[in-house]
Formats: sequence, structure tokens, C-alpha cells
Amino acid sequence: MNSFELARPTTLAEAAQMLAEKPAETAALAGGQDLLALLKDDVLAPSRLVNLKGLPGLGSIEVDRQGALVLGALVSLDAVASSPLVQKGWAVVAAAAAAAATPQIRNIGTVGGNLCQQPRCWYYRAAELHCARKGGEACLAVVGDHSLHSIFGEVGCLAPNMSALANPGTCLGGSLRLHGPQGARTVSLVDFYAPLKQSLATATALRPGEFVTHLVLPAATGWATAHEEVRARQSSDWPLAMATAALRLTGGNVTAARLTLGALAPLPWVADAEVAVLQGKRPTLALCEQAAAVVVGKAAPLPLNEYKVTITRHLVRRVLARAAGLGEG
Amino acid sequence: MAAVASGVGQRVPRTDSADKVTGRALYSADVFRPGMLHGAVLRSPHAHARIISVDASRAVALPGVHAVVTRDSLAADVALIVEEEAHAARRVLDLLAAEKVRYEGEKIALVAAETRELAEQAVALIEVVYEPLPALIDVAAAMLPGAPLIHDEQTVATLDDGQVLHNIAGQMHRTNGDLAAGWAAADRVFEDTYTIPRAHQTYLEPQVAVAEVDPQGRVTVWTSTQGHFAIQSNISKSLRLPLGDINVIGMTIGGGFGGKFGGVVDTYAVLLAQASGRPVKLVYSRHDEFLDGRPAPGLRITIKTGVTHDGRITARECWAYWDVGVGSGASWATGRIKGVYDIPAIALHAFEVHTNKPAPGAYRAPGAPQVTFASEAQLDSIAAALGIDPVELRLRNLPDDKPQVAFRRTLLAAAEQVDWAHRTAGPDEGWGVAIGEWTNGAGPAAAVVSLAPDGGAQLFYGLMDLTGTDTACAQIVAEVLDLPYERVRVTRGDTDSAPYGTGSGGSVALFSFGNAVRDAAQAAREQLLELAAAHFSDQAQAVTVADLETVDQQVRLRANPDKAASFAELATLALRQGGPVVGEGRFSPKPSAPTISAQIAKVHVDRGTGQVTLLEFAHALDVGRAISPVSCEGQMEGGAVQGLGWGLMEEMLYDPQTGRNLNPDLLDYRVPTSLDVPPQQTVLVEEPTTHGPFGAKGIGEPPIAPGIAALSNAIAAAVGVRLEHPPFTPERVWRALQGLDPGPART
Repeated sequence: MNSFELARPTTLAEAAQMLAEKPAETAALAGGQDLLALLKDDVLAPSRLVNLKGLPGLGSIEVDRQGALVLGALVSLDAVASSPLVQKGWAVVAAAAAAAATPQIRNIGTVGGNLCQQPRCWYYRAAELHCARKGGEACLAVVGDHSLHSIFGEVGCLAPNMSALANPGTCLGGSLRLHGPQGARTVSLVDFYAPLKQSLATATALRPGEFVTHLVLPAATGWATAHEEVRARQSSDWPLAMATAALRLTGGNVTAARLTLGALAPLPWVADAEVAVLQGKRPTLALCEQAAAVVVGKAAPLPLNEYKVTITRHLVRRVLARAAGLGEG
Repeated sequence: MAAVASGVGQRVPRTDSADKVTGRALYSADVFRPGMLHGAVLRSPHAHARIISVDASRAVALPGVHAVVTRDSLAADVALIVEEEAHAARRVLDLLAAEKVRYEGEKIALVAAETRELAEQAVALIEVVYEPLPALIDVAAAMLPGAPLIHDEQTVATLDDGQVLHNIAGQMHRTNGDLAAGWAAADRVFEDTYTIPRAHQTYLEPQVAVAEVDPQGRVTVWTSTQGHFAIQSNISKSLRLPLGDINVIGMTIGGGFGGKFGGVVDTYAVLLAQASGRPVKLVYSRHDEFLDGRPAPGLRITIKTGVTHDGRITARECWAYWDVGVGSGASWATGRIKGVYDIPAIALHAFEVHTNKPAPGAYRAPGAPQVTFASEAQLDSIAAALGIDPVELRLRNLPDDKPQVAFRRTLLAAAEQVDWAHRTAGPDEGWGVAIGEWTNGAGPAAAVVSLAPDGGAQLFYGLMDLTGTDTACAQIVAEVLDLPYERVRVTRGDTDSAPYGTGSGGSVALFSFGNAVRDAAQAAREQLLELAAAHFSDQAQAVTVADLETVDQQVRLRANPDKAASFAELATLALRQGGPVVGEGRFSPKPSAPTISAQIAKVHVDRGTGQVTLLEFAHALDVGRAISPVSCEGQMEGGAVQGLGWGLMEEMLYDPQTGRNLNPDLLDYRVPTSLDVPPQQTVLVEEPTTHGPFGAKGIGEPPIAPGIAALSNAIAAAVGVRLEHPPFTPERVWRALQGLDPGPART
């Protein structure tokens, strides 16, 4: 691990300024559950860490006047998982937070850190290897072992987005409040991750000096939701696949359907268009299965992660069936 | 002897529990010496490469660096390291890589500096120029004619049929019985191939040692080991030091499972202490463990078995290819392919194949889980093909029980635990049974039991306690002397002070030391009684030992219980009359009897996701005699979880392109959590063995052996597919359900 300077701002403006001075050599520190591991493994070697933990106003869970859930970036995953407010109105978010990592990491890891975590890929995480995500020529997983990698969304890097909150957050139409040298702004979660499609060097919409202050999730009233994950180990493990579904049902028929997949694409994979086959119909298991088949029709697996296609098909069917009140599917 | 509430067979808490849970226990990393430096290791980033040059000048020049050791700075006669294990192979390897590196993580240079951070910084300043070579990770590819040779010398083997194999470290061929007659007697012949990946012992405490060299050159080492005498011997042989110039202090150990018989840290800490003139601590990280530990070898094995229509095995032949990395050994375990069954004819062909991976080491019942998986999974397919119940098929091939041997009773105890004959399974659920066998070895042991003036007992020996053996030995002393086990103080000597004793591996520890401890306690008891007899004798009555009994830490006359003296009074009296009460016990190896671990698993397989969920697990083990039942159950549960982990999720993965380890951490190398394994139903079977202390058998090894097979058999029962490549991850289950092969070699 390299030596670094630890900066401890006490205001948002100060933090933005400290982050902006040498953006390429600076990293924002919150819970540190991802960052410290990357430092210890010499994957990242910033000369300055800006500790956001002393900043005011980022540690609460609130509902605003529009009924949206506002999660401060410094709120722990455990606090999200165990909040009655979140459990009641945004159950899929509480469920995803509860399933993440380990109890110890959930106690320390934050909302902001979970959304901004670096790629989970054994090539990216090996300090000696220079993969495409680190500016190298090729994604090493393509010719190597990609059994845990993406089956959707070609961007030149197979490392999947593993954020537990980004997946249900995207499905529920969530957005992020950012703060930077030019002040505050809001971007949707979809737009937050979209820049990765243009360039591997810019994984998110964060501009130099910017950091996440809040995750905002609109009221989910009227939506029937479900979230499921598949993992090889029941705790302390990243999922092989995760899915969040949200259905609006009117008179027993689907009037709106949303589906987001995680751990399967370099960014949260929005499959709203594919599940539009449910639109206007009374949901049945057969229809959910049909929608799942359409969803995985877009998959482009490689030899070692083809199994994820089958997993995804079943996961999507289950999560749609559960959201539609058809039981476990 | 009256029953002692905390004597042999009683359920008592372990003597080390309180120290461990309160943080009082001292581990090797807790050792700090005045002026101590911290070591770091430069490791190869390549799995296979030629070393063109090593330039350590910038590291040497860094302030705070006290020693830099490279291959060039080593004396020629210490360029090799001897890694010795009590129950696995003896290996001779390069201490530091010379002209080539042969696996990722191989040691190239060592640094000692004032802080660990500084040492790591210095390591990063050492410049090495490599010429990368193709890396071999798969035994099949490594054996091909034309495959690059990992070691340059004598590793091309020509078989009797003229076939040429590359990268062969060793071979073993053995035939017992009339194979031709065995095949002729078979109604059906089954042939299957299984592949088992490397698994790491994943002890919680990584390898660590502190070494100090005094001005006369005498070495002291504090270390985490299963056998401090083995460490002493390793260092002596590797560094050409007289044995008597090395004192090894075995600290509390945070798990070993066969992986802590030395070689990876101790000798290197001594080298750095010699080079710097200061004490040096060398601590492995978890990353180091996976790159440069000594894990269990992988195995590819083809097994051919002939059976009659009624399920009797007539012949068996197998071809085993052990992935021994840059080391050797392991092939001897192929003999376990026989199991404990009556097989009239059997032939083995075992090869040790070099790959670009670290040398393997012992892991709990070395080789048994791999071989047992093949034999017990195949037996299950045979049972299914013949339409014979899997328990019944095993019973038909097991020898009859007799004194010391209770195979059938143990298997039936597990079956009874789950009511096997009436077992029920829901959709995609299935039951699997498997048995694993082990006969414990034995080693030399000695113990001294003395009586303190307060009447308490003191046990002194050179036994490393991994598994609760201190508790069991305290119970033995308590039983013999007739006092509560809390009144037995157990002290482990270092190699300077303790009489020689075997290391704690291969399930030998309690079998060997238990005998010495029992005899030492018995000798102390006799002295005590003789003293009491003399004390109680007067002119009116000559008391003999036969007239005496012990009750409540007193010796008294059977005929007149009022005539009594406490242990404390007698121990104090001894100080004036004859000297302190001291008994000694000695033991040299004697044979034990074989035991089986019978395991039954019930699983659910999710056909959609490929997830295997373990629903129930029953486990019977013939322990001979449960001296400490709580520790026995702990051994059974821990060993079984390791076997099940190997079956469900554990495997060391290697990049097919570069040969680098892909999952060198406990996140990507998955070991089961408490959520992955249900509560176990353990059944202790007790069929005593003649030479075991109180009839006890060594029991640490067998519980790990059958788990992989029990799982695969349960999966086959659940969804009708047989997985031949553990671990049975969602990916492999999916492949099997699709009828695909297990995929390219990644292990």
C-alpha cells in the first residue's frame, strides 16, 4: 500500500475542493470497505484520501415532501436494511441491502460507497495485471475465466456492476444528488452509470471533485415489487445474478412493468422494454416465463458464463411472478 | 478407580476455550522482541518465467532496511529448503528461485526492515527482469509430449507401452490379487473419470514466525506449527545448523489442518535474523497463503470397477494423475482407492505431475477426500445401475465387524440416525451416503506428570494442541489420579525443554501422547500410593498399596476411611520423604485399527439456478473411545464441514492463459459459512482399539473424507445427474443438467 495524505473536510464545499485539486490522484473515502481493500492490494494508489465521514447532513434516512425516500450517502447498508421506513415503502431496497456482503461490512459500508464501488473482477483486482478497465489493451476475462462476468451490455470490459443498491434503485427510477465544485446537481441512476458505455475511463457521471450525497427513490406507491438474488454461498458473497421487478397492476392487468438486472452487465441492466410483453395482460406464470425468455434473448454469453443465462431466465420468471402475486414462480 | 466427574469420557469444556475467547491466548504474531524487524518477501508475478536479472541495490539503499537476501547472497549449501511433514511427502525445493520461477508467488528475495510497510516498500524496489514462459496448470496438458518442462531434470517418463509423459515427478504402480480373474468374475464393468481441484487448508491464522539469533549463533523461533520438533529439524537441515543450536517455541496455533509442518516461513525468518543480526517477524497474508501455501493437491482419476449382478466388487483398477505443482509426493494416497471393502484384485497406476503451481502439502487425511470421492461416487452409480440400495451395496462389500473394527456398525448408525429405510424426499431432493476410512498412525511421545505441593497435578510434554488434545490429556490425568481435570495444569515445553514428541497430524496426537500421559499419571499415582502406604503404616499394621483407595483428592484406607491423607498433604510429605512425586510415560509407535466415517446428506437442487442446498447431514464415526466427547464432536463437525466445503464451493482457480491464481482471497475462494451447512447429527460409535489410550482411535482425519461423495450422490438422487468435478457450484450443476462436460481446466 502506498503512503497517502488523509484530508478531513468538514463542509461539502471543502470536500469538493479537496477532491478537485488533484482528481486523478485523489479518492473519496466513506466506509472504506471497497477502497481500503483496493489500496491494500495496490490496485489503486491515490496520494490523497478525502474522508467524507465528517460531512454534515449525509447520515440520515428521510422521506421528503413528495414522498420520496432520501438516503444519505453515509448511511450504512445495515441501517438501510433494518429501517422500518425503507422496509415498508421500498422493501426491495431493504432486501438488497440486507443480502449484501457480511454483517460486518454492512455495519460499516455506506450507501455512497456501495453505489460507487470499483469493478468486481479478478483481473481488475490483481495489481500486476493491466486490463482494459485500467487502461490496458484488452479485457483479460474474455480469453480468461469469465465465469462470474457479464452476459449483457458490451462495453469492452466484462466486469459486472455489483452494487446492491443500484439494481433496485434503478428499477424504482432512483436518482443521485451529487455535490461538486459547481454546487449540487441531480442525475438519474441510469445516467450516473451511462458514461461507461462511452469510455471505460469514466465509470460514472461524477465530474472532477464531485461526490454522491444522497440516493433518492421516488415513492413506490402503486408498484408491486420483488427482488431476488442467486449466490454460490449464502453469506459473504457477491451474487451471480440479481433481479428487481416492479409491476403496476390495474384491475388485475399489468399497466407498467420494469425490470433491472444486476451482476450480469457492466452497469445496471434495464430490461423494461423486454418485459413490455406483460403490458395490458393479466400476469400468469406462462407469461412471466415468456417475458424471461425475451429478457435473456438479449444475452451474449461466453463459454464459461452461459449458465448465467439459465439462472437469469429463472430469476426473472420468479421475480416477475412474485411481484405479480403468483407465489414463488 | 472411581469415576471422575471430569475424567475420561466426560463432557467438559476445553481447557483453552476461555483464553481463546477472551483474547488471552498468545499467538505467534503476538510475539514482540526488543529491536525486532519485520520481514517481507518478493514474489514472482509470473507462473513460469526465466529470471534474467535481479537488482536489489535500491532496496539495500533504503534507510531502515537491515537485510536483503537474494539467491546470489545465499551460501551455495543453503540454497535448498527441506520441507518435512510427518504424514506427507518430504520435499526438497529451492529456497529462493534461481534461474527460473515456476509458480506465481514463488519467493525471489527477502527483506528485513524496521516496519512491515518499509519492508514491503523495499521489496517493491527490487528490480527483476523476467522472460515469461508458457504456464501449465492442467495435468493433462502438462503430460503431453512436447509440453515445456517445468523442472529441467529427469521429468520425462517412458511407460512400459512406450508412451512418453512429460513433467512426471514420480510414479507408483501396484497390483494386488489376480486382476484377470477379477475382471473375468465381473458381470459388469464401470469406468469413470473424476477431477478434484486443489483446496487450501484455510486455517484462520496465516503462517507466521519470529526468529532471533543470539551472538553465539543460537537460534530461537516462535512459530505457529503442528510440530515444533519438525520445524527444528527443517531449519537444521535447510540452513546446516546443529539441531541443538535451534530452539523452537510452539505458540498457540490458529489452525493447521496439515499445512503447518513448516517450510514456508520459519527458515526464511531465521535467514533474515541471521542476515540482520536482529529478531525478525515474518507474517503471511491471506494472499501469500493462496499463492505460496502448501494446499491439497488436485487429482484427475479414472477408476474402473468390476462387479457381479448382486453388487460384489470383483476387481478394480485406477489411473491417478496428481497435480503436485513444482513439488512431489501425494501419489501414495492412491492406495485409498480400495476403501475398506473386500476387493479381491486391485491395480493402481499413480503419477505425480508437475504444473506451474506451488508444491502441495498435507490437508487433513491427505489425499483421502480426492480418492474417496472417486471411489464412493462410482460405487453410488453402480448401486443405481444395479438397482441396489446404496447402503446395502456397501454392506455387501464390507468385511464383518470384529474386535477393534466396526465398519458395519458405524454405517448402520448413520443410516439409523436418518431412518434411511424410510427416508423421504420432496421434488428435486435426494439423499446420498458415502464412507471414508482412515487408520491413524502413531509417533514417539513422552510425558511427565508431577504432583504439586497443593495436591494439583502438572502435566508437561511436547505436544502441540490443535484439536483439544490438552483437554483430553488433562482428562486422562484426572481419570488416573482421581482428581478434577481443572486441577491438572498442562504445560507445553519448547524443543529445548520437552522430550521429543511427534507432531500433531495424521490423527496420531492423542493416540500417541495419550498413552504416555496415562503411563506418566499411573506412575505418579503409584508413587503417591506408596508414599501413603508408608505414611499409614505403623507398628500395629503394615499398610500396602492394595489396601488403599483414592476419593475426593485423598488417599485413604479401604477398611478404615477415617484414616486418610489429602493429595496436598502427601505431596508436601514427599518433599521430605523421597522427593517430589513425578511419573513419566514413554510411547513408541504401535498399530491402531481402521475406522470409517459414514456420512449421509440430504440436498435440494434448484434446477433453475443450479444452487445446491444441504438440508440434513448425519455423521457416524467410530472413535474407539471418546476420551473427550465434546472434542470428538468438534472434530467430526469441523472435518465434515471441510469435506462439504470442498464439495460445494472450495477450489483454487487458475487463469488458463497466465497460470495465475484467480481467487487468492477468502472472498473468491469460498469456504462455507454457518448459513451453508445445517446442524449436524453426530453419532459416536465406540469400538475400542487395543493400543489406544483407553481404547481411543485417532479421529481427526476421517471426517473430511466422504463429504464430497455424499454430496454428489445426493445430487444424483435428487436430479438424476452425476457431477464428476467438484465443487458442485451453480455453474457445474447447470452444465451437468444440460448434459455438458465440466468445461475447460481451470483448476
